[in-house]
Amino acid sequence: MEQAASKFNEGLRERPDHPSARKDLAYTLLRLGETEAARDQFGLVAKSDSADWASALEYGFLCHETQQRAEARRMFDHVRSNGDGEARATAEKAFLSVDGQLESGIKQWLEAARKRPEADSVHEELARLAEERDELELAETHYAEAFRLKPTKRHFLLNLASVRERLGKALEANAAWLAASRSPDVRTSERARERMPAGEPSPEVVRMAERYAMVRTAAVRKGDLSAIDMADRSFQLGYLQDALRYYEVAQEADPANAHAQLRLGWTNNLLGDDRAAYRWFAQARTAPDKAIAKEASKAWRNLRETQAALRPTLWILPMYSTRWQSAFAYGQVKVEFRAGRLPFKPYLSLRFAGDTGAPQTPLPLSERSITPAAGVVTKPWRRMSLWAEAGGNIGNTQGPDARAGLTHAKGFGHLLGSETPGSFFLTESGVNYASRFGNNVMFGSQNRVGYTLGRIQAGWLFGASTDTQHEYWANFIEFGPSLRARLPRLPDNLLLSVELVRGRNFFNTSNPRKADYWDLRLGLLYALTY
Amino acid sequence: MRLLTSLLFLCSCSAAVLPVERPLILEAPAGAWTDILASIGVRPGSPAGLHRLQILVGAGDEVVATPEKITVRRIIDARRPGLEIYWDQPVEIARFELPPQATVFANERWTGAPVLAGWKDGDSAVLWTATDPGPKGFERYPYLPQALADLGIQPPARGTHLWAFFDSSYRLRTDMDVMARRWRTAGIAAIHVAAWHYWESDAQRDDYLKRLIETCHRHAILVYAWIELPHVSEQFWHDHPQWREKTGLLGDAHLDWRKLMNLQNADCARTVRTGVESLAGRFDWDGINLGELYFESLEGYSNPARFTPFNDDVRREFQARAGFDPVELFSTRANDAAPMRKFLNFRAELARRMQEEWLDVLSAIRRQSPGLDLVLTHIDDRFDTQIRDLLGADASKVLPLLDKHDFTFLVEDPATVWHLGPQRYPEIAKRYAALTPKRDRLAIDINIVERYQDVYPTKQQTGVELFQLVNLATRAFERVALYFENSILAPDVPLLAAAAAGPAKIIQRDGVLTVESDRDFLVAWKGPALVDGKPWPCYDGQFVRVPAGTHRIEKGPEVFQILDLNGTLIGAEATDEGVSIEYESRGRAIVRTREGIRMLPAGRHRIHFAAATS
Repeated sequence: MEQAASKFNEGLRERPDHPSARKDLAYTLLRLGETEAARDQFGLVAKSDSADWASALEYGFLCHETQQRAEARRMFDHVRSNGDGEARATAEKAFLSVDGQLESGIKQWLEAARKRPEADSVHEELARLAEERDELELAETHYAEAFRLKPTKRHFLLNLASVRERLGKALEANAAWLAASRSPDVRTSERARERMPAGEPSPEVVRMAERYAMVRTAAVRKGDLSAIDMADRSFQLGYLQDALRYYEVAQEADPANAHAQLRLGWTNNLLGDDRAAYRWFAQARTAPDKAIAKEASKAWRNLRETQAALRPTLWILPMYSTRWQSAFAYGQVKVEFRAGRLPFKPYLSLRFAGDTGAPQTPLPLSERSITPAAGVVTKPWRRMSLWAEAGGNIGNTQGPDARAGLTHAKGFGHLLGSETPGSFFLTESGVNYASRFGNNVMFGSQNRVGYTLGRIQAGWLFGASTDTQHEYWANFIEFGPSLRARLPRLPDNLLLSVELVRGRNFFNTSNPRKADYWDLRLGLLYALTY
Repeated sequence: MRLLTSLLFLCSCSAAVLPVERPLILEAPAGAWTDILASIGVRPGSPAGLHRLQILVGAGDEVVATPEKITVRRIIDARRPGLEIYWDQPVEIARFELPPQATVFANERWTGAPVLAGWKDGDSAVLWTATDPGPKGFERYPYLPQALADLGIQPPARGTHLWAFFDSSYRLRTDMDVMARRWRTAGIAAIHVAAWHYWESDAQRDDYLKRLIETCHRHAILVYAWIELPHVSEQFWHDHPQWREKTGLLGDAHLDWRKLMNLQNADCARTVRTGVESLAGRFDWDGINLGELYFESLEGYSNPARFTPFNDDVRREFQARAGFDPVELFSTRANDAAPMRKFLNFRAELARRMQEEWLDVLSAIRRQSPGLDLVLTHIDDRFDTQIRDLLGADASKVLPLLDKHDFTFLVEDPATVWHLGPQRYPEIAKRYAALTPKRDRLAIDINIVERYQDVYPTKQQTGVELFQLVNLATRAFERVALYFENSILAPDVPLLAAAAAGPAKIIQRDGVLTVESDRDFLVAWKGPALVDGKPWPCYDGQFVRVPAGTHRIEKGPEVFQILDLNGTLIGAEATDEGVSIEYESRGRAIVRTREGIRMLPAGRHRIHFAAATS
């Protein structure tokens, strides 16, 4: 039988107008259980031969079997009005059966709509039955009411557009198609695109389409359960795709809804779309609600590193050292550029190092210059970053050079800024290479352990450093008490640091001082990232 | 070409002697590819029709990305162009140019750009997709397994124990033999026939059903009567308007296709009982399925136009207990939660009482027809805990009835969780396993219908999603039912049995297959075989049926053939005197040989076939 169907298909490709072959194909498909395909073949036969009432009836019955009740009713109506004897009688019986069911259904749901006018599903059911019975005005009324009651169900717009098209209301239909085509739900928008007339919609259609958005706005503002409640429920249950859609509807209805903006941020973030999340957090951080603004700002800052096209940073560290009997000042302005999925980010940097003029200060401690450079830095991996840069020099005659390094920093316990007091351990290490200093490679590590109490951190410092050139200033161990604090009434990004260390250099070839030393250092670090 | 991660590679390829094929080598990028293959029981290292399968995503050796960009929201699959396939998240991709030997399986809707294609080269094939298939494997290209089958992939195992619901009103003119053969090939062991169409005796309709039952038995398929009380029949509704169920608005409860009757009315219940007995006696049923015997609807009390039961008998009984008419719940007591809670509890208890009463009725019928299997189809209320209040269904109250009645508890996953994907089945199984020690009595019903939720990529489960559903459900439950046979889309039918094979492992070494499973299944094997070193009668030339456990299959001599068995195969033996099989079956079993079929009694038995008959 499958082979017969295949042969019929082949033959019909050659001669598509062969009615008896098409009819035989239809019956073969029926026996094979391919009811929909059989229906379509009978439909073609009935269309090509208007006097073939048997095929028209078959088509009607198969439409009914395949849930196309409206088409079945129309076909039975056509045959009972125009067909010949036996077909007419059969069609009459079938029509009355289908029509009777629709009629009683409409009666039942009209009564239900009268008693429960606020139930969208009642209006939907009624509209569907009315549409199937070709009572298009009734269908239009109740689809419109269902959409008014439940504007989150945007597929109602498709029903509405379809019914209006059949009613000859082209403008209204096109407006509904257009509104549906803008739905965030891909299925609704694509279905609308399939049906929309080609070309740009007229301004009138656009204006009318915008009214559908206003219906949604009104419903959400009135506290309709739909969008925001559904979104929150979906979010809490972890149905993030649903939550996303509902939040989008809620936000569209009320663009100033900061809660929806914040949740859109989190939902997108959880779904892996940090770009969208970053955009929503940016909007929510300006919310009048302080809690929302704070949460959004924190999330926005966290994402900024990966999402912002430019990421400027600035830090300045003035300090005084008793060992060198000099004040120093270090600083850097750096702009990182977003590099998409690349594992590193390029940057431009302007570094400054200077001192108050201690004669025996080694050059690496104070280059007394401004150093412009261009470089790349990798995205952090396990709190490690690699960087490399090349640049020039303004202020001394060292000329261009290249630098590179690997940095690592990790804290444990109650770090500065912790809400509760407690002990902490902080380790910061790095390997740095500089072509300028004889291609020296330096390794240094600073470790602090102690106790944090609010904005103050007191503890013990242990530092060690070495290099490949055996420079005395780069080879030492030191330890001593350390105090770091965020000063009252000053911004959090300003940090006072006081360290008293006892140290020892272990290469002293050109060391003008003793190998053992005491050093009291006072510094003030200011850092800013935008 | 993209960096390819080889997932699992070849075993030694020494066994080139037929019927053993070379095991599959899969080269695929990271992603859900192994899950997609596993959904039809294909695993790298097992024989699967192809020796080498390469999955290529995006641009590669022979695939060139042009500068043109397209955004994919909808694709058209050539094997079912009318099927609406949408991508939840639109994806911007390059337009790709494929090598001339490629067969395009799917295109982007608006530009016609290819998105799924493949090409073959001997026993190797390349499957190409424009994007990855999505984290679960079914988000973008539903018909990946079918495309793989077109390229030569052949699943090595098949299950044979599926159930499927059947409504003859969709199939009246379909050839019964064609239908039954197709069902059995799809792994269907029993159909549950919508019996309300046959409630009243009618010569023509009865003849149809009798022929259907005979045809199914001939193809080793069992036939159950599926009843949907309190819907009785169309005629019953017309004949007894006084017994119609009422909704919360006191309208007749004609809800969707169901026309509900008032089974709390003693006269109505008595008449329906007589009808059930008549229905059971007129046909050669293998079982009866009592489906969805509770109240409406999934909208619960929030939509009184669909909320039942509000017939006079229920209202009277509730008023006697609670002191008020439940109709007041939608008027004077509408804003008070406590009275509604009282009614919801009463309603759940009423549903349990109905289920017990009707199980009593069916058990009495079984006493007259030993071998008749009983099934209770019951919506899940463990995974979706609102169901008790929405429908009155409470599994925890019904499952203890397993101590009194022998029946299969068929869990229907509620429409409210259809969108949650295949992983819900192991979870549902866990929750029910905690409720009853009789886990072998638990079964799951997968609804293959258009879902009302906003689900992607297709409204109705098809392709990868359907196969994952069936595969995971088969692993989690003893029995899997599909609602319904007519809704299974044509492209899915040929691979359904492969998805239902369960957790079968098939390893090939030196011309010998070692198979392992916790249930019996069919393993692809051409010709006769030795199983565990002994001549084996359960084969049909394409497949060998093996019991649960670990078995070794190798080439064997021809013996008397057991072509099919509807029942669980426990063991088999071929001797000079003939062959014997041991099987187990809840209801009757069917065995099919070249001489025809034989109906076998329920239970665990050993059956002998004398050599002379071969």
